[in-house]
Amino acid sequence: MLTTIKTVLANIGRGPATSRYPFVEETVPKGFRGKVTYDPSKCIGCKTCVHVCAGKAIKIDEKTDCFDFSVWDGTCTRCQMCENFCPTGAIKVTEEFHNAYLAEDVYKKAHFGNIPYIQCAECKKMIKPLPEVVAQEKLKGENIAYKERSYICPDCRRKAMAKDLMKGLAR
Amino acid sequence: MLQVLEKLFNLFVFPGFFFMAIIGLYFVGIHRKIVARIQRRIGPPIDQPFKDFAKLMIKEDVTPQGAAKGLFTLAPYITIIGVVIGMMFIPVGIPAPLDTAGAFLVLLYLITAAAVGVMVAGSASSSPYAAVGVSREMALVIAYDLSLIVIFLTVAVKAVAIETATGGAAADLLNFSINSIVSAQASRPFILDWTMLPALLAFLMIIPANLGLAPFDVVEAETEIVEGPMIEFSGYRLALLQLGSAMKAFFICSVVVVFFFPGGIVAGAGLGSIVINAIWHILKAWVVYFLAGTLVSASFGRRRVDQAVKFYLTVPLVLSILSLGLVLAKVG
Amino acid sequence: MLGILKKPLRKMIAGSPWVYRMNTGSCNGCDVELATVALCPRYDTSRFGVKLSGSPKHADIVVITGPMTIRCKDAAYRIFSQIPEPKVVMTVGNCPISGNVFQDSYAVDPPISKHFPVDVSVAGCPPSPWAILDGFVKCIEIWENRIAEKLD
Repeated sequence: MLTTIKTVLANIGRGPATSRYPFVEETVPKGFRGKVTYDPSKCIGCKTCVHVCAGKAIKIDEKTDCFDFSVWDGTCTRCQMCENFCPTGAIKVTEEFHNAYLAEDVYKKAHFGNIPYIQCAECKKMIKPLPEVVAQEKLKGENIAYKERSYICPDCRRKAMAKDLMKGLAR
Repeated sequence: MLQVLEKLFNLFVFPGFFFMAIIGLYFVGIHRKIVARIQRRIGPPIDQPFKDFAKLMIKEDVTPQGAAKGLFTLAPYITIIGVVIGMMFIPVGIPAPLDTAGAFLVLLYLITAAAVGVMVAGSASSSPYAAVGVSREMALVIAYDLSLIVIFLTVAVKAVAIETATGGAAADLLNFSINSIVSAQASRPFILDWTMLPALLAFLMIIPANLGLAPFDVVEAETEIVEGPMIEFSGYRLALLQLGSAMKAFFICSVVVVFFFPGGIVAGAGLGSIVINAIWHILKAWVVYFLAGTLVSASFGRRRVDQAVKFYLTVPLVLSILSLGLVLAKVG
Repeated sequence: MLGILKKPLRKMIAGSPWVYRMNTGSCNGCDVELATVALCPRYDTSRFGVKLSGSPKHADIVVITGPMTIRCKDAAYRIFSQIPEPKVVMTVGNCPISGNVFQDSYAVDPPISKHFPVDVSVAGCPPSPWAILDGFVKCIEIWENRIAEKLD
């Protein structure tokens, strides 16, 4: 009984613990999983994120001369598996939590990215490009043989490497 | 003719319907604000009950099919009518408009009639949750009515004792009118008399059950029976039910004030002194509501219905019988 | 209705939206966040006049969580029809928008906008309580517009 009275009086003295949210800005704890962002300049189109997405929010739509990437906020579970498995770090989870929309707007809340294909220098087939950023990071710019042949499609690259091999063997 | 107009003014404006409605709604608003501050929140603005009332008046009215039509329509008015008529017996600045012999007993009935309003409302809606709420309300009213009768008896006996002590035939004074109680406290209000203190304490304990506040708000236990008797009401009917509940708060606090510490601070019958005395009465009623309603409801959790009934059949009953015994002993 | 009284009357009526929560098969994650928003002193919603009401007949803002499971469709329709006009519908969580991880299940029927007219959606799984508070503020604006329409 006495603790009740003490708590009641202390609470009146301490003042409200409310944070007046819409009028002041609030932050979330570090490591909070919010919306997903996408950097088209690093994407290699491997489709691992599509495979691991829990809510089927990521879609990669391969067309004739480009591929479209989209992630819809209305189905993203924020499980962070896409960021975990992406080999190049093109998809990242931010701490953005302002998610309240009018109902007709929620269908527009998606990230789009469009990565155009490049043409193979030899056989003129359309292939997915290897971004320079990724080459610098992953291959550390040291794999000279790969660098010389990074603008031709895998089939042509195989043929060229086979020719080199034959040349080397024939010595 | 002027008499009739004056009585009608008393009934509808002061201290009748409008006065009670406004003061009652402000009481509820201040109560919610203080409870919020005790819980370290900001709380709704003080005029929130007025906004609630305005909003409920424009909502669509959804009546269940199986409800008893006549009673469903009539139920919200029972509490309001009972409480307004009860206020006619209480002097607020002006002498009580309807004070006659026996007014005391009518007051006792009207306090119970206000609770009956909620019971009729719950029974008229064809819902099992409302039926559970009604049965709980009935059990609670039976439990605290016993103590209420003993308290009323104590006050009456004390008033008669004081009047006979200061000279006057007992038979003339045993007419159970509110005036006799007020004039018996002219020299010293009952609150300063130690024999009446247990009765005051018992009355303060009855207030939470009467008004549906914690720890005895088991009737409208939201998490258990989905708002109890008021579940099927919407629109203007719900607005009237809530208005009745707010007016009942002011009414019962005024009854406590009149029984234990009435009296104005400025004598005379001019308009200025009426206003000042009315404001003094409102302040006293608010102090009663604060101590017995707000502070208690913010500090305690809800008691189960069997715990509540057991409490009312022991503690306030013992206190009021104690007070009655002390008063009778001093008389004899 | 006097024209001059309309604006203050509108402000007064819009200051008291009562909330009713309907759970159509949710995993309860969003319901826990709703309970936090409604009851914890940090996110106090009663400063906007919001009160959590127990009965659908007392409600102005209807909060729906969960994808519509087939089992509770009947009950959900019945309860929704008992909520008096004018009302505002808000959905919390990703499940009412698209079914989230339960999309291809045989037991659910998302999205909720197929069954009820939705006004505000709060995305997230579960959304942060700040986002739900944002949703309430948006709902209150829409509620004010509905009141203005009704008063005219």
